[in-house]
Amino acid sequence: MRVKRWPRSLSELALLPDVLLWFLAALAPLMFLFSLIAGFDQAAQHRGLLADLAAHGRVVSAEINQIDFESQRGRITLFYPAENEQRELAVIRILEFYPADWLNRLEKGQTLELLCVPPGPYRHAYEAVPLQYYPAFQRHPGITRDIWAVFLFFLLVAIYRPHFLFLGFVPVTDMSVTLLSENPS
Amino acid sequence: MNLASNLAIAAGIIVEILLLWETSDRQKKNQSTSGFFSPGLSRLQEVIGLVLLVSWGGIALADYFDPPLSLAALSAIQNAIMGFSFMFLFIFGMVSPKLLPRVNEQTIVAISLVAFYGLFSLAKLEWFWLTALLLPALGVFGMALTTRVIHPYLKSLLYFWYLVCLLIMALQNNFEMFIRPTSELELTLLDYFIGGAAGIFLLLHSIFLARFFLMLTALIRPANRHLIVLAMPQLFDDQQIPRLKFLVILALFGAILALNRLTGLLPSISALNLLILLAVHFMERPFQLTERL
Repeated sequence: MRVKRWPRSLSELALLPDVLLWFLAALAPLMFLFSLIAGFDQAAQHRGLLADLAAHGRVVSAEINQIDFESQRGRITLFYPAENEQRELAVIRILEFYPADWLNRLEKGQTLELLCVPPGPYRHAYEAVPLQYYPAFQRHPGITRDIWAVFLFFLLVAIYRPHFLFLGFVPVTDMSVTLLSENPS
Repeated sequence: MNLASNLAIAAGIIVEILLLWETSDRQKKNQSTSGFFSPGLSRLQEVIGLVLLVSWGGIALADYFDPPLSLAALSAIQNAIMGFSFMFLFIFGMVSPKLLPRVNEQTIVAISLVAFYGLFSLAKLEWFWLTALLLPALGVFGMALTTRVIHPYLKSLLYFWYLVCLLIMALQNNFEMFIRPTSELELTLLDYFIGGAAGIFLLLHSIFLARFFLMLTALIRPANRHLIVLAMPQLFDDQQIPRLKFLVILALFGAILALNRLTGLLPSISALNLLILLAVHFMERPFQLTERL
């Protein structure tokens, strides 16, 4: 009885996910390091903003001028009255830190209570946080979802296929790697 | 910062890279060519000595003449140093970590002592942080005093602890000297030299910590566990300094730290960095090492 065989092209096609996984596994150390550095940087920026808000923060009522969900992880631009009948700028950044239903209800011209770093020689001058979400903002680690996703995704890839991590310490022959030694035909 | 301070940082980085190379060669028992001037030294050790002499000659000249350099020129010099350093860190920390020195529990105890001394003199920690740091440190100290061979899984955890201690040291360092040409740090040329050498060593290990964390996490799958057993001999050494001599070295480290605190001979961070490099590169050299049972 003849054994039914897959056509060669189909069996090679079946190798594609495996090849893709090897490619991702090769990238894993680098992308994991990238996610760590980016995460630390975001957390440091977040702590810096909290420190500036605690030291120089001012509660103001500001009017929404523009809501932009797209650029630079989303931002809301607002203006509030200052001395000499001038208007000062305040910006709420990284909108994913705030509830989506609250964001969707916001409209241009609406007034918000903010805790804001005033203009001056401060690292986070003009940055603001809605007063009602300030306690939640203080508890937030300050790391965005995309960085968490990269971190966890490449952590999983490294757990499933860790061979590139051990290159230089363990000879390839001792790694039980099957793809490169198998004959697909 | 002037030309001399940048040269001192560059010299520190180059000498440390050569020391890593020499330590790695010596620990892997690679046959090294004997030196031109002394058969007791290897060629690489002589090169390190020569680089030290030439670089300090250059630094002294630059310091004496102190040529006025524009901000753009200083930035260019610093960028060149940093470009080379980051390339080195990426290749030897992430891609091919061949230059990492092998350590044993005794080295880890010495590194922990230095890192915690720095940490405790900078910050006041809550009791739970203190417990989380001191318990593993006491455990490693206990193991450093025993002569039984440790299982590779435990070795991997000890090595992770060692990398965490080096990260703690890296966080205590001020890397402003590497990235700001207008930095006004009040440091001597020796501090810049030590800062360059320790900086590259600490950053190399901090980058490798990310890779090693992934290596440890991969052990969740039983199918991967044999890999760490095969890998640990490249990172962890089973040879030890005799117990009494090790305790004398620890006491000596403590005495140096206390003396520096009393006299203020070196800035605290420079003294700590110097002890870290001594522990990793030179601690076991004068002694006949003993195999574990």
